[in-house]
Amino acid sequence: MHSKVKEQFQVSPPMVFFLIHAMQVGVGMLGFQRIVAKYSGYDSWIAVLIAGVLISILISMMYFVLKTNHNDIIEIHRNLFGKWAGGVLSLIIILYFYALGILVIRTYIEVIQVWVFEDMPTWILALLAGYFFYYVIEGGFRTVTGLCVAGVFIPSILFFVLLMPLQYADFLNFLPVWKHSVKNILLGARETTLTYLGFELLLLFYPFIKDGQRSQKWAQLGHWASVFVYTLLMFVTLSFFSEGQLDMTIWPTLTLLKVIEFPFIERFEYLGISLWLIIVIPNIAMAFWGASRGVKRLFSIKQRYVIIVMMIVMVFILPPLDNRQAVNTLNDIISQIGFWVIVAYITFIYIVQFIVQKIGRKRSS
Amino acid sequence: MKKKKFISLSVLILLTGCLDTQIIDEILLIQTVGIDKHEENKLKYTVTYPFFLEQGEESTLNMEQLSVISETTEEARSLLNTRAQQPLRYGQVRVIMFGKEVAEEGLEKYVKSFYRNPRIGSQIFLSLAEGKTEEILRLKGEKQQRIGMYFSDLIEQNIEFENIPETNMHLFLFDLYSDGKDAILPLITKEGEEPKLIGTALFDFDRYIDNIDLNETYIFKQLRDGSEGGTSQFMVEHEGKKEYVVIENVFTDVQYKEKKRTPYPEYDIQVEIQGEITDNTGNIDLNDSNQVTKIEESVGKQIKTESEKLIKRFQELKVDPLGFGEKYRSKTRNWKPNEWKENIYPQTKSNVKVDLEILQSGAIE
Repeated sequence: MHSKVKEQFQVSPPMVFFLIHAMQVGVGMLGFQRIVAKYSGYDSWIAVLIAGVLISILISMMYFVLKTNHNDIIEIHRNLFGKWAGGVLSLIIILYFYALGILVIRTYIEVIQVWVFEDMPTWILALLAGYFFYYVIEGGFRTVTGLCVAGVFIPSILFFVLLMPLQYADFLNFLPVWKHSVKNILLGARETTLTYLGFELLLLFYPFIKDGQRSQKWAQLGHWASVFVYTLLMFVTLSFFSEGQLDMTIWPTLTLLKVIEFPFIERFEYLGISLWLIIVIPNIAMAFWGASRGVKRLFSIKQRYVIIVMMIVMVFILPPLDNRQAVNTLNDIISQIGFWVIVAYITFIYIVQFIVQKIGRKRSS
Repeated sequence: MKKKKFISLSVLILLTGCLDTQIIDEILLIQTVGIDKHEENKLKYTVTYPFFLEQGEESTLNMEQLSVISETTEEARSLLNTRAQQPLRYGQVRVIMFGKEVAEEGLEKYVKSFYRNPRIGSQIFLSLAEGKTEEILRLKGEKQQRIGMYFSDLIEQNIEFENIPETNMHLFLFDLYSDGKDAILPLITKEGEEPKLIGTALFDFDRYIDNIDLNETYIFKQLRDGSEGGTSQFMVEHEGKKEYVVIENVFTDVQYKEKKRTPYPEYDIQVEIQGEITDNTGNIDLNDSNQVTKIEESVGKQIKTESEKLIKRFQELKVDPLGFGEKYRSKTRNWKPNEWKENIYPQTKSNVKVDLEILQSGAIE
């Protein structure tokens, strides 16, 4: 089964920049600093950079596997592991993407409930989101890509605003550099990889890129743009908070926004939270698109029906996850799975592909 | 397509009714909060809020003051609501004032509860009241009507132009949770019927320890931030007589250099003040550069002695509002906060060098 995506549904290689960058910058950006700093303290910015290098290598590995096969992960699974084992692996990946979408949307709803509307019931937002994402994903991959482009450009003003808390910066915090053990910094880097999550969707949307093999540089560029943003944000955060203070602040990025004052708006974080919606939407849309696309490829069901079912299930799953503990648990589980999917699994499939290729070459010679 | 549009539109319109609205002239916005001790384990909360009269009544802005007895901040708010005409909200709090007795037992839990509440900004002022805040928050006559802004303006203008070091809730929390620096708050009292800033309160972690007066606060501000602004009067000897000059700081720069580390650290503190003589008694010829140099030397010496005295006093009290600990930590690989506090800090030596430069002396000769 070698299904080629028609050219009219494909996007050009530079779009990969937006797809990767928009997927990586998301809801995790509101609170990753505290979790990384739990392990690496004021050295966390090093951890962010290390994780950036690691992910960059993983992207190259993904490209190696995808280029050799010229297809998406579902087909690759089938080629490498056969129909049944490959199918099970694909199913796990699909479930993971679906759960990722649910997690992002639930985390964002939590932020809204804590910061803006404390009496907003989850089901209202779930219902609105379900309808909206059905509408977007039904529009196809190109619509989702469009959302990603908007999701990079429109909120980019926020990144300049995030430099404003530097008025309270205390750069003594950073000294002495590298006072944590290598182990702690690597643990911090592991936590950071979770905020870089999202680029693995490339495994599914690769066939939608025109000249896919030439798009790697755009993917890397998108990724390094994310690394830049995360490192900068980490830097501002670490100079702004003292260690104990950061440790109890759940959304350091929003607390940073709290000190920004303009003559026309006294509490900037409310604007920030609303703008964050534009950052978060492409995240969720991509994750759900990936999951539904996976099901379509695996079981040959029409994608529209898959989305409808997925959105209905979402509307029923979201409301019971209604407190900090539940959101936290969900976060931990998905993070762990995500970590294994991206780091371990991509390496694993890379090695398998590498061996298969070697054997193949030997046989043909 | 028409049907879809109709559904979207009706969803948007119907769902708007689902949330509680908070219309600005139908809620009461608390502007000042005072917390006093009341018998054992009980606290007395005093709040002030502006109160707009209804149509037809004389259109003046009235201020109300209410007090209740409670254990926690939020409980206090709900108890206050049982006595308020319209719902009270914390969204516009400007100043939180703590009574001395409360501060002696520790402020962490209260400040934390205000930090927890996303409705409260992080640039609000915290302050310490000598005596009961309930008394201080009761002003006379017209001032009572402006009480909401009165204290925040009082603190703000004194930070900007006079001797009070920069402070707000964020900076207090930063110092509180930093293990190499101790927090400070402005100290307010009531003299007769007038509220008045009288100095700076020193904290050991979250407990109030002691205070310094306005003259010491002037020196302290120079040493802490290297600030702009601040005025102080000095005595100089001129032709055998005691004369007074008033010096206003135009610009101050302060630098700490670690001169020696073992057995106990020694710091060189270089204070460079560029100032302006705004007033003087007697007949000092301010055009004579010799006489100006004399004043510079004499005043510089006084600032030096005062500074060293002040630092000694901090060391005896075992509080570190100047952040020597942070400076020491930034060059220490195995930093132990307790050892610093108990053994090293009291033995730390500091040499203050003051370099005062008089730039100008007003518009007359």
